[in-house]
Amino acid sequence: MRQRKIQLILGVAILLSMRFLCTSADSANTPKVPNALTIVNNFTTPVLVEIWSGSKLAYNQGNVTGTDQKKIQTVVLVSNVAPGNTLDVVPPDGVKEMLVIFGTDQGVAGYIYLTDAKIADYVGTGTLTLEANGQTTFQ
Amino acid sequence: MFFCLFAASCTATNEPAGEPSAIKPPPLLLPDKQVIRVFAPVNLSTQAGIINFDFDSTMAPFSALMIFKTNPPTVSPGKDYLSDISSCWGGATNMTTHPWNNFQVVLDAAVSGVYVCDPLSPIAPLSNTLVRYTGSMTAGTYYWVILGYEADYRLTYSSPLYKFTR
Repeated sequence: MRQRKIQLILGVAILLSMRFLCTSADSANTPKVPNALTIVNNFTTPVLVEIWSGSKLAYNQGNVTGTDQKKIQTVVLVSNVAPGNTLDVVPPDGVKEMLVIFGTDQGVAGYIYLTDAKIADYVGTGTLTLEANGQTTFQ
Repeated sequence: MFFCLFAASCTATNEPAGEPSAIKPPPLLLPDKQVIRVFAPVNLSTQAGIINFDFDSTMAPFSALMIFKTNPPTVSPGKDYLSDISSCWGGATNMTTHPWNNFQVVLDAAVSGVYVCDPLSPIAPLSNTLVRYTGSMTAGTYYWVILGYEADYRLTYSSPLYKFTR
């Protein structure tokens, strides 16, 4: 009886490990390409970055307006000194429009707005750069 | 959907709702005034060459762009106007004959919309004729603000004070 139990446990263990190998092999054959958005800070100071998804997005006096707006990146500080001046973000699948809000940390005054950039036709990858003159470019 | 049974509620709920950002708008230079939004040059940026001062002053019958060098203007506690504009470098306003389209003033090398400050005239502190060009904007720290006035010249609107480096 005890021997049959051990055989049963071994059998289940073998089946489980086979399933694991199978899944790994399937993933390797069809690797998923992740979305990738890189933010580059070439501004004069460290900046705060907050990112929203949705459509018809706009920043208006502390509020983000639009349709189905959803915060996909909470505020994070990005240095203005390389190599720490980049932020890699993985937007959720299906996101086509994003609003990137740039701010500065004013201590007791809080996080204060600098500028924003809307990425309207996002196709899964790209680099958004905040230049020293405050303009943004997306490639 | 529920509210669309009633036409009035339906209209209200169809308007885009705002969600709060953790990044707040910059405080106005004159905090008790209504907001004039400004866009460029971005606060704390570095500027070279031609500068486009971008804003929206459509709500104000009269407006003024004021640019200050080195020192920001002074606002006395409890007051609602600028009490010291001695560091004024230049600006423009539709209270005189300066061109004004409510959206942009260009500081250019040849055809500029920015005029010299007149320190002897605190009531109308911008020259009618003496133009500022990029060539006279030396290296340093500058501040700029847009102020808005009612038709009876009451100061009613203010933008934040933005800083840039040349």
